[in-house]
Amino acid sequence: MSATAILIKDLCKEFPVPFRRETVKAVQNLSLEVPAGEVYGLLGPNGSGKSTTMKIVLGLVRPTSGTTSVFGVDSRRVESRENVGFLPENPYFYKYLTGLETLLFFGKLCGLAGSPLRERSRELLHTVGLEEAADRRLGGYSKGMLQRIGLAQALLGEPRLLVLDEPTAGVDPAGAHAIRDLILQCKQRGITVLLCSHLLGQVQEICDRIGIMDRGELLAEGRIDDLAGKKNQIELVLENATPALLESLGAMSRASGAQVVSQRGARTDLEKFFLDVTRHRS
Amino acid sequence: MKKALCIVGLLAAFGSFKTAAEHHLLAAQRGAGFQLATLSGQTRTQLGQTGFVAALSGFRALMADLLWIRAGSAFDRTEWPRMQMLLHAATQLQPRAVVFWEMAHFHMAYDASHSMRLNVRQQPVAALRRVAELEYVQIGEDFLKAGLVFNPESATLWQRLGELYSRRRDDPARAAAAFTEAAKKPGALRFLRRMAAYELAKVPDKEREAYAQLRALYLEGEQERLPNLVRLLRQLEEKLAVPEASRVYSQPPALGPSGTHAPR
Amino acid sequence: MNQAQNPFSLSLRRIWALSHNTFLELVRLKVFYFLLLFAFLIIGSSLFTVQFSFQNPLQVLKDVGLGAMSIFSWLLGLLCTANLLPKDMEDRTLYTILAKPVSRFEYLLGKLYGVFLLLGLSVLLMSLLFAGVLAIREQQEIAELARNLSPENLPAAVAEIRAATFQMNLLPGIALILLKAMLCSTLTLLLSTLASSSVFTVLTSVVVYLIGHVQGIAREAWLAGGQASPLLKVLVAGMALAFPDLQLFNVVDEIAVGTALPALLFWQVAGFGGMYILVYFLLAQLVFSTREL
Repeated sequence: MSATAILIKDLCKEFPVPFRRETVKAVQNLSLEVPAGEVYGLLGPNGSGKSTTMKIVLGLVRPTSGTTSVFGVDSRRVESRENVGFLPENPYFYKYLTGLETLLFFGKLCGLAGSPLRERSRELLHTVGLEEAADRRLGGYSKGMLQRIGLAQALLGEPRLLVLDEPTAGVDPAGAHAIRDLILQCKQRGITVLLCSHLLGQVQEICDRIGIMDRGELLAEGRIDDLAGKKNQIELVLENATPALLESLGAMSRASGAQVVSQRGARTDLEKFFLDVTRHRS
Repeated sequence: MKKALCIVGLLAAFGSFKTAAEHHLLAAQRGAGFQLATLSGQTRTQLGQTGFVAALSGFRALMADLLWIRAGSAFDRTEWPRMQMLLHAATQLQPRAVVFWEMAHFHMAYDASHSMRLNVRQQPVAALRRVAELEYVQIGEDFLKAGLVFNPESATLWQRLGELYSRRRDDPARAAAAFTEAAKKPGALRFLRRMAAYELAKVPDKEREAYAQLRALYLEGEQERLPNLVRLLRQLEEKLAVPEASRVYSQPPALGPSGTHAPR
Repeated sequence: MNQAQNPFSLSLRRIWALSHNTFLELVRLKVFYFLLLFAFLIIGSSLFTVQFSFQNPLQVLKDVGLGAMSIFSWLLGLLCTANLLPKDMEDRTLYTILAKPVSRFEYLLGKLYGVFLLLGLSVLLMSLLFAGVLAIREQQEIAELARNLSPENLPAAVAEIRAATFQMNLLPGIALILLKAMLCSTLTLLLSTLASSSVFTVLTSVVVYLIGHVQGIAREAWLAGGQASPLLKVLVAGMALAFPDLQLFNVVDEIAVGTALPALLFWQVAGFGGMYILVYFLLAQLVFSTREL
């Protein structure tokens, strides 16, 4: 067992431009490592190369140079995907299949069969809360339901690595919350997760580490606290605090030589950091 | 672009091999009686553009049927030249359908030619009517001969050719030859050998040969000893002065109900 | 799991799952309604041909049926195959599938087998319907004859009718119709791996189909030499080399009028078709395996 779930070394990907000699550099000299059991968030604006990176990791796209491997197996090899579950962005499955049939189909592709497959599919339908809709065709599913069946599909083969591309894009807040909980469950079970998202709040809640990409390059990487935390500041989040309590906290701070810098509702620091990093480039 | 070139290269390499294979396969199919249809300019004209494409891509037999049906309407209106063209196109499209050749010849050599003979209104001169009549007999004969090129083993077409020489041309020598040929073909009916002999008997200087054939048939047994055959045998025995001892009636006679089989 | 490194990695179970799914897809997309057209055509012409007196109505019906089977099976294969890859790519279902331990070879083979299954079943259904309609008409015609003909003439007339209906010897001819449709489907698959739109795929495939039916004429002219202009010669040679001779699969018309198809010849043509399918499929795999998704 390799302790490294994803290893990317000096990855470059160039796409040829039709009828021209030049190429578009989608990924440039990317190196990163995701240890097993970690939840890693890959962030970046549209066209930053994160989707391409993901596709290369999954063996859907061939790298121009460099290597990627999953649990020590080169991504270009079919068996590198044996321990991987993938949920693409806005997944469309076969509309003519029911929820159960979809899971049975993908299960067979993972090498499952017979009653173990059936049991596993039922179990996953229960996990993602689609038991009721198991025998309805996907054509009639809402976006959130599709996303959930997509997640169930990704979990079918008992993967050790989950790759999720915008798992909550276009899903209502409640649905997004449910999906977030599912990801957290996976994390608790020790599944490595590679997550691409625009929703920074969500990333901040879930991820252990993040990498920020723009124009094919990895600009920053690290633990969220390290990247977005201010070393000499601490944030205190209180619930049901009375004005009197706040007043006395302020007084205590001043007495100990500290200073209350700001006082406001809790908000995302990551968003600011993200925008800073990407704005800096352009 | 490189990929496209690679594929074109591979296709060309495969192409040169498969072209040779296709050539041999076509020859083998033609040998077995397939792929004989020809889409000549005339056939194309009769079919029209759409019909031509249809004929090329799987509806060939159906296009032949449609031409045939159109020939039928030409027949109803006694438009003989038009009918001839349609029959020709149909037979070209489906040259292995013996019935097409057979019927085409029949409509030309019999229906159309008779119609010419009786066509007093448009052609008062009897001699010219006769010329027209014989022209259609010739067209009928041509159909049969063309049909035999595609279906050399067809007893039916050989038989029809014999009948045409016999009935429409008064050419017993060629009729006999055609019947003889017909009799050799698979599925030939028994009477063809008798027909050949009957025709041969009409040819001067061939009586002895005809007699030999008739005698052989007679000796084959009961089923061949039909009144006509026996009568002709008798006549030839007289005419050729066959010695009494070797005449057929010295064989055990077959007694028919009418008594015609009995010796003198 | 060393075999997985090889691009032709094969798992029959996965291929079967993909074929079955493709078949199911086509069935649930109601492509079988297309066959209703065939049914209408056959039953319609069965009623229509009654009025033909100049040509044997059963023969016409048989020729309609065989011709329609040829066209329908081809069209069905073409239309079903042309959309398989573009649709999966557009819907990104392809990503989900290939992100499973499925090789592209298995995916492509599974898809093609699914179409083959559909074609096989369609041709079977068409044959059954066709044989059924002909059998009913045969009974009607024989009953009609029995009323009108004297008993001694009846056997010959009945034999003639029987010859014009569905005979077992048509089966090899129908098998080659199916093979031709399979070949054209594989070609369509190859085109769709190259193409960026399914309109291009369909149009090109139709053009190849049409040229494929006159390729033989061009090829024989080229092989025979002759005095064509150099440009024309190059054109004809290119046509002969690049396109399949689809006319070689059209033998059923001759069988229908009584020409016997020797077993050896049947297997030669079948083997030839199989070789084409193999080559086109391998080319499709070659293109698809390197295609950026």
